[in-house]
Amino acid sequence: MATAKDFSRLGDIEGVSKYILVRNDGYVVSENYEEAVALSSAIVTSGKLCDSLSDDLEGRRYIYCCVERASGDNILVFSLGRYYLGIIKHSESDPQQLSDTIIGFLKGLA
Amino acid sequence: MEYDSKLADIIASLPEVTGGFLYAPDRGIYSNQTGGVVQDESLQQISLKLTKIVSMMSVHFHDTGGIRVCFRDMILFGTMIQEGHWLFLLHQPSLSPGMIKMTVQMALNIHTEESPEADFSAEPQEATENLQTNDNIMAILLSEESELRLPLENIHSQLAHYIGPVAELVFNDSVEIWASNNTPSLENLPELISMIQGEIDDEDDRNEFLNSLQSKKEE
Repeated sequence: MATAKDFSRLGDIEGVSKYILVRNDGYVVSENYEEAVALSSAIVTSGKLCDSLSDDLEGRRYIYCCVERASGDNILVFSLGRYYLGIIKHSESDPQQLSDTIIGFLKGLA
Repeated sequence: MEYDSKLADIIASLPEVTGGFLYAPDRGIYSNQTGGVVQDESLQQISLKLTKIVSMMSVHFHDTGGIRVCFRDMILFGTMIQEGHWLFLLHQPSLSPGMIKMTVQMALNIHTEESPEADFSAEPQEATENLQTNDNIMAILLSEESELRLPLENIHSQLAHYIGPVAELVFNDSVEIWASNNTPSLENLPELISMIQGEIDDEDDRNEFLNSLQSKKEE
């Protein structure tokens, strides 16, 4: 069973600027972001909205959602059962490569 | 609607794009070009959800732009094209975000060029607009995320080797014409090379230029 401490290693992944792990009730479980509490509800709601896209797209489950920013510090959202993971990436990191790394990391925790 | 044809152009120009749609809060789905695969009601829900996500994130981050939702077999991309109006594309995962963004931006730039107001503009203003558009195209094509950046930089540098300082001018003009006649892509690169090699007078130099590009490609 993964612990909050395990998730703290997300911050060490190359390309990850900030991360925030939030329970579906908005409780912040693990983070390295000073504004995590302010962002938590947006992460949870985004994750829930993306989860519900399966109702509109013949049951397709999303892998991750990426909100693009002009700065390149895009925000990635992953659904992990009752938890949602928000990642703010470094502008220079490749989003596809980073998402693959994150998915690999999460699978390693399972 | 004016954006209908732009959306159709984008879909037609990129085989990996399987469909798209246009949405505005006050009009709902006003162009469904998914080939009937997804119904308007579902697209309406998708649009509401994705625009809400961007809207929420924009409260926290003030530079939000588009959104991409990745599924195993497709990606749903959305970007605001004007106040409140959104363009969404469904495409295969093999298509890079950079290429999608570039194609959409170019389609919107072309729209600016073709706007009715431009027909009545004074000539110097048109020239300025065109220059700005060309600068935009070059900036997009040579951006970090563009898959064309390295091949184009190589063509540029090889051309400079054979025709010297005028290479930049020739290169920029050729790319501009190429981009207006084709969707810029790796597949269409031979057409650009064909145009540019005609600018090298000496036949031996021309052949060397083509050989150098070929050997670089094989690397």
